[in-house]
Amino acid sequence: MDKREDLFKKAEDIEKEQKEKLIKEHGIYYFEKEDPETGEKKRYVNIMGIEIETEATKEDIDKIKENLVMSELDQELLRKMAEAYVLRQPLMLEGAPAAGKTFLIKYFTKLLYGADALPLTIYGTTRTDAEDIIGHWVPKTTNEKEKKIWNEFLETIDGKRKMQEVINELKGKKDLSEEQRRNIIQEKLKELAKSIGLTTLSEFEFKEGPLLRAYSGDNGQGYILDVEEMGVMPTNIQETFLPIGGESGKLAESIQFWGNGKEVYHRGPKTWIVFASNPPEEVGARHEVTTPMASRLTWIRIEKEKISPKVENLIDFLYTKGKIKSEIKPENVLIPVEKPIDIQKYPELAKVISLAVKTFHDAFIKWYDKVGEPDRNQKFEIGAREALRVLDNILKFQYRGEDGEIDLTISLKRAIELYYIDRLSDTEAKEKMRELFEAILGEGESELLGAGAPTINGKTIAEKLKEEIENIIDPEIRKKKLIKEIEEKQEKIWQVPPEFVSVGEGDLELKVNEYQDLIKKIELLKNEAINEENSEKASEILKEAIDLFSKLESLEKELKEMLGGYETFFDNFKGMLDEI
Amino acid sequence: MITLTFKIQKSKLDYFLESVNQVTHPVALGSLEEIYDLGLVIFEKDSKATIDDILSVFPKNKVEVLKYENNKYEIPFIEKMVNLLENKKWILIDLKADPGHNLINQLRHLSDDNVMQLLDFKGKEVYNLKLPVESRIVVVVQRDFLEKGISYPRFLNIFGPVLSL
Repeated sequence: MDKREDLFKKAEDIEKEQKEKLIKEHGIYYFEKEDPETGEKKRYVNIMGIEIETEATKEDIDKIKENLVMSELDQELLRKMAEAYVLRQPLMLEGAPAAGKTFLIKYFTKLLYGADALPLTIYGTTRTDAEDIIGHWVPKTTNEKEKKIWNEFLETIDGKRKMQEVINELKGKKDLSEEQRRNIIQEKLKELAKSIGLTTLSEFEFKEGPLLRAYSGDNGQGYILDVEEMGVMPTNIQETFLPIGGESGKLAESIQFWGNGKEVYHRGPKTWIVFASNPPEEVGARHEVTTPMASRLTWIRIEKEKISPKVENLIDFLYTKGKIKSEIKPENVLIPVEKPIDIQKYPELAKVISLAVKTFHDAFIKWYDKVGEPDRNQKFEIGAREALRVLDNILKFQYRGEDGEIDLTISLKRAIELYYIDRLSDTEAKEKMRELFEAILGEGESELLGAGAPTINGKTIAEKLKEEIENIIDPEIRKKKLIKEIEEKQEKIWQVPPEFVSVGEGDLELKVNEYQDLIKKIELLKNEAINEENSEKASEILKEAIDLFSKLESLEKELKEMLGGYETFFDNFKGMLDEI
Repeated sequence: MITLTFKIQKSKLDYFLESVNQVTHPVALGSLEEIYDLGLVIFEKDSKATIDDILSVFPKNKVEVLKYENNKYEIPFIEKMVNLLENKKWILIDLKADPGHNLINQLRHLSDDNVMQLLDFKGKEVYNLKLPVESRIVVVVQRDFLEKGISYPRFLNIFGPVLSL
C-alpha cells in the first residue's frame, strides 16, 4: 500500500495556498525548490497550477508577466499548453486570427527559457518544402555561382527525384555505420553535381532543419518548435511531421531520418512541438490538416465567442498600461495533487476508468461518424491515441474533491474535454458531449447513451471510482477518515423523544429498543475499532458500523411514522383534558 | 527634377516613412511589449514613382536596396539582410519574385518579433538577430505583381503602414 499522507490536511493546505497565490499573482509565479536527491536548488514556474522547471529568473518571470493581460481565454490556453508540455504531447491551436495563439506560444517559451528566449519557428507557406523542415545538403564551397546552380537544381522536379533516390538507397543499407553511410552520400552527391556540370563541388554538409534541431539540437537538449500557419502548407508537406507521432499520443521518443546518414534523432528533454492554424472554413486559402497528421496532435479548437471578451480585457489593459488585468477565475486554477495515484498499479480502479473512457470513446465515434460537424472542413480520425492521451493525462494530473480525497471524475472530465471535446468547433455539440460523459459517470442523462449508463455491481462509475480510491488509501488514514465519518453521522442521529422511551409498549417498545440498541452498537464498534491496532481490521469494523447507519435511517423513518400516530393521540388527549 | 505630382506624393512618402520609423504597436493582443512595423510600398499601374524617389528622401548611407529576384536560392539574399541590419541600415526590398519559404519566414519573424531567426549561422546553432532600433524594413512591390505574383496568402498581414504611389 502507498503511504499517502498528502491526502490529508497538510497537502490540502499547500494546494489551497498555491491556488490563492496564483489568483493573487495573476496565474503565474516563480519559486525555487530543492531537489531532494541532489540538494540542488532548482527554479520553477507555476503556470495556472502546473509546476514546470524553468531556466527563467524571477526577474524574467516578473517582466514577462507585466506583458500578459491573462484574459480568460489566455488562462485556459496557457493551462492546457502547460499540461501538453509536461506530457510532451504535440499540440495544435486552431483558431481565428487574433485569438493570440502565436503570442501565447512565444510567451510560454519565455516563461520556460527566459525573457529573451524565442521558440524555433517555422511559418508555413505555399512554397514550404520538406527540406525547409528537415534540412538539406549544401556544398562546402566558396564558389557562389556553383552553389546557386546546385540549389536551383535541387528545386527542380528532377533534382528532387534524384535526391530522393540517394536517400532511398541509404534506407537499404541499415547495417552500415553512420560514417559509411555518410561516405556513400558524399560520393552520390558528387556524382550528382558532376551530372549537372558542377565539377568543383567535392564536399557537402547536411544542414539540419528546424524539426531535427528541435529534436536533438542544443547538445541533445532540444528546443520548443512552433509551427505556424500549418494550414497554408501544401498537404503533402504537412505530412513531413508524421514521424513525430509517438506512443500514447506523445511526441515520438526519436525520429528516423536517412537523408544525412545519421538515422536516429532522439527527443531531447526540452523538445516540444506546437502547431497553429486558422480554420479553413473561416479563413481563405487554408487547407485542412491531413487526418493522419491531425490524429497525431492534441487539438484545441479555440471558440470564436471567447475572442471578443479577450479584446475587451485588452482595451482596459492597454489603456491603463497594464494596471487593469483580467482576474484569474478560481475555477481555472486547479492544483494537481503532488503524489498522484499510480492507477495502473490497481487493476480494479484501472478497469473502472477504462470502462468510462471506452464507453465515451465508442459513443463519440458513433456520433462523429453519423452526425459530426458537416460545416467544418477539418476532419479527424478518432483512434486509440485519444484514449491513451486521456490515460496519460490522468496518471499525472489528479485533483482533490470537496471531501479532501482524490476525485478521479475531475481528472477524467478535464482530460475528456482536452482530448475529445476541444477538437470540436460546434458549441452545441460540445455541450452534448459533456452531457454524454456526465451520463456515463452516472451524474446525468444523455440521449446518446443508448444502452444506459454503465454500472459495476449496481454502482455508477462515479460511485465505483470513489469506492476503489477508498480501497487504496493507506489503512491508518482510512481508519481516521472512517472514524471522522462515523462521528459526523453520530452527531446527526435522531433521538427518540424521552416521553416515548419508557411509554411505548408492544411494537413501539420493540422498535424503540431496536433503535437504541443500534445506536449503542455503532458506538461499541467505533470504540472497538479505535482500540484495534491493526488498521485494516479496524477499517473493516468501522465499515460495518457505517453500514448500520442505513438500517438506523430506515428504523428512524418507521419510528417517526409510528410516533406520528401517538403524537396525534396525545395531542387529542391533551386537548380533551384541557376542555374538561 | 522633382515634378509637382511627386511633391504631393513626397509628403505622403514622408508621412509613411515617419510612421514606419516611429510607430510601434503591441507585439500581440494582450501584451504591452511594443515592436516596430514593416512597411509596404505599392507602385500602382500608372505610377511614375521609382525606388530612386524613395531613396531620395533618405540621408546618405542610411538605406540599402536589395533586389529579390531568385526564390530558388534565397540564402545569399537573407545573409545580405542580416549584414545590413547588423550595420544598422534600413532595407528596401525590391520584390521581383514570389517570395519563397525563407524570405516569408524572415519577414514574419521581423513582423511578429522584430527578429531574424537563422539556423547554423555565424557559428551559432540558432541565430536570433534583433532588429536594431535604427533599422527598418520596407518592401516595394508593383501592384500587378502583388495581385498576381505572390502566393503567400497572408502577405499583406506582414505589414503595418502601406503606401500606394
